[in-house]
Amino acid sequence: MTLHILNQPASYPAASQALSAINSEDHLLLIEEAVTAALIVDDKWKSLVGQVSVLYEDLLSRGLADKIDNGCLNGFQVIDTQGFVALTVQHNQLVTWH
Amino acid sequence: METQTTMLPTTLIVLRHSPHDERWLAEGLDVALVGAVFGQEVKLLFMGQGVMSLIPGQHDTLGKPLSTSAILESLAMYGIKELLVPSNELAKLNIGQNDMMAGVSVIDDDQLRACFSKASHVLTF
Repeated sequence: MTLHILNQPASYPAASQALSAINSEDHLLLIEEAVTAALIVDDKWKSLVGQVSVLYEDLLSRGLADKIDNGCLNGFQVIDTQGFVALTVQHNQLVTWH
Repeated sequence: METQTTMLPTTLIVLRHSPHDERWLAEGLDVALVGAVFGQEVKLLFMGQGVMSLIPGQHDTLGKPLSTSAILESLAMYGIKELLVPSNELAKLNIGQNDMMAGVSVIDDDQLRACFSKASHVLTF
C-alpha cells in the first residue's frame, strides 16, 4: 500500500507518471498545484475517485474552497493536514511526484 | 534454531529528469550506488525526460560528455543490472530500444505498477 503525493498540475508529466504507477490498493493525495486536478472530470481521473484525496489548505489558498460540497470536490475526498498525517501513517510507502 | 530465507531489500529509484538537468540524475545515481554498495538490490526506473539518460552520446554544450553518462555505463560493476523503461514512455518520445544503451529492459503497464508495489523503498528524482 503506497501513498502517492502529487504536487504538479494534471497537465505535467509528473501527473501522468503518477497515474501510471498507481496500484488498485494505493492512494493518491493532491497537494499544492495538483489540487486543480480535482476540477478535471475526465474518465481517467473519474475512475480514481475512491483513491484520491485533495488537501483542503491548498484548495483554500487557491480560492477553490467554495467548490467543496459535502466534504468532496467533484467526488474527490477533501482532507485537511491532520488527514494528510493520518494517510502517511496508514501507508507503508510514500512516493512523491514533484 | 530457526532458519530464515534472507531476501535483499529492493530499492526502486525513479529517474524522471533530463540528463541535462544533471542535479536530479546525479543525485539519483549517487543514491543508487550507495544503496548497491550497502547491499541493497537496486532497480532504476526511467520515466519522462529521464529516458533520455539511456541514449548514448549525451554531451554538454561544449561537447564534453556528461559525467552521469560514465556512471550509467558502470552500474553493472556495482551490481545494478535492472534498468527499466515503461513502453509507453518510449512511445511518447518515439524512441526505440535500439536507440538506447545495452541492458535496458522495456516493461509494460502491469510490470510498472508491480515495480512500485514490490519495492521495499521507492525514491523519486
